[in-house]
Amino acid sequence: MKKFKSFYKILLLSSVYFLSCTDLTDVAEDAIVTNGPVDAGAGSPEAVLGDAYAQLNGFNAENNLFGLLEGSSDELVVPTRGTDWSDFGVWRQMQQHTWDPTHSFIFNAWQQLNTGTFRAERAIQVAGSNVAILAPARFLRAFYTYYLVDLYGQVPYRTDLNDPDEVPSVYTRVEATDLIIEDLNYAIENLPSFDPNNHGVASKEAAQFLLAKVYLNKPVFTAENPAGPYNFAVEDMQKVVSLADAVIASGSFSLTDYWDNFGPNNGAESKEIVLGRINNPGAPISNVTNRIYNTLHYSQGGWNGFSTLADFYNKWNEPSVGGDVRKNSAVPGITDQNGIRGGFLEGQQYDKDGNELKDRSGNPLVFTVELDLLYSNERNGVRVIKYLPPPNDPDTDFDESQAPGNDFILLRYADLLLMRAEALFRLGDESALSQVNEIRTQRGANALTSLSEQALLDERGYEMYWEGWRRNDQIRFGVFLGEWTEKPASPPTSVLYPIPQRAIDTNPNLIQNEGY
Amino acid sequence: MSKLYLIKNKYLVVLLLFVSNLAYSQNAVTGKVLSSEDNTGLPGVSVVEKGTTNGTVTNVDGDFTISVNPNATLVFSFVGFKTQEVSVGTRTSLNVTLATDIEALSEVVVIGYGRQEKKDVTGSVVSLSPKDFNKGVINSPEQLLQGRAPGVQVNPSSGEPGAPIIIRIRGAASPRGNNSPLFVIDGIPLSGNDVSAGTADYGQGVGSARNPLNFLNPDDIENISVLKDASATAIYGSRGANGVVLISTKQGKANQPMLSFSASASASTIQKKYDLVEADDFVAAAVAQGGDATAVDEGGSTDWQDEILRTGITQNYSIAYGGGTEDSRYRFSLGYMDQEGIVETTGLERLSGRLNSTHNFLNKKFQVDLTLGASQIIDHNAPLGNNAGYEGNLIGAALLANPTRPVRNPDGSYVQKSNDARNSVAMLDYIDDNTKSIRLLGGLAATWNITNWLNFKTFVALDNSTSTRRVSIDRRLNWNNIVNIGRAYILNVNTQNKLIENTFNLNKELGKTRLEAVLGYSYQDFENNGNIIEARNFPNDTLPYNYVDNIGGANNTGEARAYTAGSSRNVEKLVSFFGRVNLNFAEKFNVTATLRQDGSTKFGENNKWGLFPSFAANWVLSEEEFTPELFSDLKLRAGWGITGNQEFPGSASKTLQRYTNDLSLTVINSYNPNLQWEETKQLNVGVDFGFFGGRLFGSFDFFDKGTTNLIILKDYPQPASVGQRYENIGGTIKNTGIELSLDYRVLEGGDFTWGINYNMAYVHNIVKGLDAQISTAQVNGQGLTGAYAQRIQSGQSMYSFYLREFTGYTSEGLGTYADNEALGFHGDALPDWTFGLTNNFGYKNFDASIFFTAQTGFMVYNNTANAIFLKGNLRNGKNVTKDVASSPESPANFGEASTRFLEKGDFIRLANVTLGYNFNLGNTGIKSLRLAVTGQNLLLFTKYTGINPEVSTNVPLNGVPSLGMDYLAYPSARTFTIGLTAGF
Repeated sequence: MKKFKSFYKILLLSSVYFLSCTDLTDVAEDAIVTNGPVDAGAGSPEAVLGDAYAQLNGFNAENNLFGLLEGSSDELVVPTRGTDWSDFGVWRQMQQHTWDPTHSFIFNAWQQLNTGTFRAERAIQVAGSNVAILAPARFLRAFYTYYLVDLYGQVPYRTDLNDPDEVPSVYTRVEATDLIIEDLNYAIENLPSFDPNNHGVASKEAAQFLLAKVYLNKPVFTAENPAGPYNFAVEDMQKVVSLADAVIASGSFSLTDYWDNFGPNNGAESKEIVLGRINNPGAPISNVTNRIYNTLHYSQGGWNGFSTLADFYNKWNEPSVGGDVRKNSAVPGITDQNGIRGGFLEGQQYDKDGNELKDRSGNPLVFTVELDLLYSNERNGVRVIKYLPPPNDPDTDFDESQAPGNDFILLRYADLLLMRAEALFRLGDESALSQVNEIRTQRGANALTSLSEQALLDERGYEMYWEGWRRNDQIRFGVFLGEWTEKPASPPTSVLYPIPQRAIDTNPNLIQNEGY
Repeated sequence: MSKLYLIKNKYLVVLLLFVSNLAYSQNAVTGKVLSSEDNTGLPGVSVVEKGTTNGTVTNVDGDFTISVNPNATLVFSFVGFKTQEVSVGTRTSLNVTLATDIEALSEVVVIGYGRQEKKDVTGSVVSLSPKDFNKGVINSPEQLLQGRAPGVQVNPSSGEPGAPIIIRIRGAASPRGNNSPLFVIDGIPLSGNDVSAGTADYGQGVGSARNPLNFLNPDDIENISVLKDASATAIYGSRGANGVVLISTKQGKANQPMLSFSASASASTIQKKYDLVEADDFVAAAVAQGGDATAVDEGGSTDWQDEILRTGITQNYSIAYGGGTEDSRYRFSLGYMDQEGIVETTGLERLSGRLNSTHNFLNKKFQVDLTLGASQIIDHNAPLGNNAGYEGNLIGAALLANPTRPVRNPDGSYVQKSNDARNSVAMLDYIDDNTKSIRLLGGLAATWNITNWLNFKTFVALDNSTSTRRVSIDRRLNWNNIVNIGRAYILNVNTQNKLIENTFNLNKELGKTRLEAVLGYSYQDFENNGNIIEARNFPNDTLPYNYVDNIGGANNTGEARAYTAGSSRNVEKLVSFFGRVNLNFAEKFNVTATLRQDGSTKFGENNKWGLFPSFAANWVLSEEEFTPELFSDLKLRAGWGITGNQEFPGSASKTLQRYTNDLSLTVINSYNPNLQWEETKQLNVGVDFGFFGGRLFGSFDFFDKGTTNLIILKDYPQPASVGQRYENIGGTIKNTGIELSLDYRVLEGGDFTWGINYNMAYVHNIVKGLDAQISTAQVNGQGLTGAYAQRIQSGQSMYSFYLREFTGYTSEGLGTYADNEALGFHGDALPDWTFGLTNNFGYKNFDASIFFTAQTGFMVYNNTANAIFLKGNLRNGKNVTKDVASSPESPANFGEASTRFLEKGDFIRLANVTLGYNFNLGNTGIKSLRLAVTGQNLLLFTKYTGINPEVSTNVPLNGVPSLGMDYLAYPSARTFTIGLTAGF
């Protein structure tokens, strides 16, 4: 019996031991942990807003928005070059409009933009009545939603951020367009004016710019058939003009020497950046290096991929081009340092000392206008330099060419002027021509004597190439589905990308766009 | 409990008898007990007069003295030997030779929280002791097992010393988590976390962490027990689904003082080189594809593979001594291994020490057991990322390099033409990358024998490791983001695993029924933390200096931002209650039931606790009258149970937010209160058998496993804070298979002995009802961005290849693909069949062991060929294999990821051959002296065109691991070892 007593004592003793360590409270130390949905958490409104801004950083990635905005247009092509750049066919599909709902860019951009709207939504909730947070947050929600409307035509949304299991509902293209307009009108009312020392944040003028963009494209976004025809209503075009006038009237912006907009010090030199991401050399947050190396040949330090198409490039043969600096320019401080010129690179390429470069097989490095989408060689295709590759800074002794300080541009003043010209043109206002010529003259091109839709689209190409607007422009001008050098005519459904299959799989409220 | 059993079984009875042996002594008998194995004296043998309690044990030399009644019969017994009865008659002296016990079912096997005689085991357990282990250069315990246990598949991820090892028991059941078993060393369950740092990608791809088990000295291992079925592993609950590997280290033996010393030296060379175009033929070959001789001929002649390879010399020493009395035993060991890899500068150095001791107090009322191991490992790493880009990692750069390119310029500097033409010799010179890891694993158990049938044991243990990786990359290395910048990294990983465990153990005979039970509680606390410092912008100096040891010297002025830093810390707790009851009826039937309840901080709040039951029974038919004499052993087993897998990140069920360096607050993980373990239900039916008096014995098992509640990072409906969150998804992964092991002692007893050990296993894997299609296996290399090779989908096996089907070339040499280039399923990476065959021979003092292993029914994706061996590369001045140089492919063709690079992996490998000689040294004081020569990886029969079909480079997508991808892996070696072992 005595034994059993001690047995129970032990049992009791060890039960105390047992119970002392049954606490399963969470102890992750390297993050702010909440046992609940996301907006129950901590965080200053500024930090949450910063998170919404940070989602802009992905806009320049070629396998994301940049790929969708340019890769399907007549301006940018990535031909397969022997063993290079096949990349699972993604670029060929982009160019030929044969993508399907599993295309990786289509998924990546969907995630990028929807994460953006979520973060903006969260900032809106955290802001409460704090206008200093609320106004930029609503601007950002509009910004991300604009791209969803443009690319996919459907915008999923959550009504309750506190419910992790909510199945998001979906706005139609028209509903979403109205909400963007609502957000931007609020933002215009409540955002501060542009700060010339900080184009990295939303401003009244950025909101006016974006709203002008929305009104210019509203006929597309609200068309019964997404592929057109589009009815450019007078009141929409008038809104574009008045919004553009308001931005111009702010006096914050002016046309800058073209290549100063894209150089390593464009943040300080350009007076055209209405909204951008500010990059510090050595630690850029929205690094433009891929824009540069994607196109340059190996012998120029690049990866030898991106080119432009013959039909697009041949526009530069028009006599009116004259001395247009946008076509191809030696840029002081750049070309003399690394041999790379700005603009379109055709023919023999040289190093900084003027020596002829060769390709890897030993042929002279002569970029040709011709290319073959499937079987190009290393030299095929005219290359395009928009952002200028920084030379090594001789003062620092450290190579920053892979981490340059060129700011990444999201909204540029010259675009606004061209939108204004286009709206005036669509209104039948003859001052459209002088608006176009203002730009052309500044860029060294001959003034045009008359305007046509084609001339306006071409001008947008000359000015805005590889800045992420070509698909949008081609759709609005009704030429996106046509045939060009490496692309047969495509079906009307190509004006919208499909909803990614992985998104459809998670949300029954999303209905696949027609044609996919 | 385990200790109690041990004592009871081995010594307790003996000792009790020893105390009371004086009563009736009438006739003194002296003698010596010898082992039949080596004819040396056998200490510790129990010598008992039959039918009495009169007995003794032999001394150190095997001698004994006992006083017995006239005409007494003496019973000699000792664990591991056949019990022998000898009639004394009128003799006063007698010598006895004990034969080793080959009756398999009487072996004692280690099981979860205890030991059992094999005949009582109801689950599927494979027990291996040093005689079964692979020999040669071994740097982790999994390598000891490779090919030796049916249903246990062990594959190295690469040939790099210390590389991670993929071990799967009974197939693959988890799409996202790893499929590694739980490792338990001397009762301490290890965490599944990495204990060393991988690398950041600085241009060579992301590197893997090292195999966490490298710290154990294989010479210290006494036994490895692999628990395969649910009835054996359910006592480990939420960590049991992938099987459990129990490793026991050697203990000192009472009255057997020993000192052993071993030394070996090994030489390793590459098993197979790629047959690349040689310098003499290269220019012509490149010109034939459109290259210009003036561009592709760089005037030299270099075999780049030879430039980075060497004969790796490995030295291995260990010394151990131990002994003690019944009440106090100890064993101490020290080991040192210095393994050179076959790639220049790479290697692994291990210094390890271990102290195990056991003490009894107060008339054996209390027992204390200590196991303590400490080790230091230094890894010398090469730039060998798993997902290197088109420029290649070290191996890729060597394979790609133009063979006419000299290594150095006339002025002695390296030829480094561009980022896209990397010099692999310069890489080895300019990249200095070492990891130092120190690990301490110790446990202290105190057992109180409350009664002779009940004890209480409390066990506290600590597993603590700190690992620091220091990397310097010289600014002279001509890589993007490195040249004229330089780079240094300091990465630290610290892990701590604390265990408190209390168990009651019960062992009671109730008439013909024997009851064994364990009731326990355990608390385990895992912490891992890490930090990283990255620095760049190191100044140019003509004198070499080491950046990482001088990290403050980076330029941090202006906007330069020389430093980035990061840190992380995670703590997980696991609280468990468990119990097992084993009932034995008349030594014929055993019934086992186990139950474990696990609560973890990792689980979502709606599923904090999981319950894991199992039931099993066996029937020892050989104890039945009706069983034919033919069977020396026959036992049927059946079991069923539920186990879990909780290898997912801690806090995966919580919302986690983190500030980033632009002061924004980012959500990095999203809330899922329902997140729980993956659950595996497993049925096992088996039979253990022996024929011909135990000369032929073995086991056969059938298993059927179904895993549900699969965890993946599932796409989260957008808009959302994160793209994916951890969820348990619908669907089942089934693994069904059979396992067979056979031991046949063909010849025994004479001068010439011959034994055969054979094992084989078949596993059929299929995914059913899966809600999602999960892509994995990123294909890397030029022109392959975004490509992947595998998909997990219903109706297919795990790790099924999902590719375009290559149908050949057009007349222009351009690739053609079936079905409009549609992706389709083409085989999988999981072997259907695995085989192991060992032949052991003995002739007088010689012995030999020859071990073959084979795997069939699986595919390997040759990503190396896909990325590098393409005709078009030749034109660009890059090297290819001779086969590719003469293939009909056009240089304009592109290497689409397709079945063109998918190959059968089936192989037979002569994996291990050992030849040994045991010297007979008589009375020199040297008890044993053995000289052995071992060859590892001697022959490989395969149609696979890469180097090694067993290699698997981990190239995950969305955190889903891949299998069977071969990409620029560290080559595997062929190794010869000569070793000397002496025992005193």
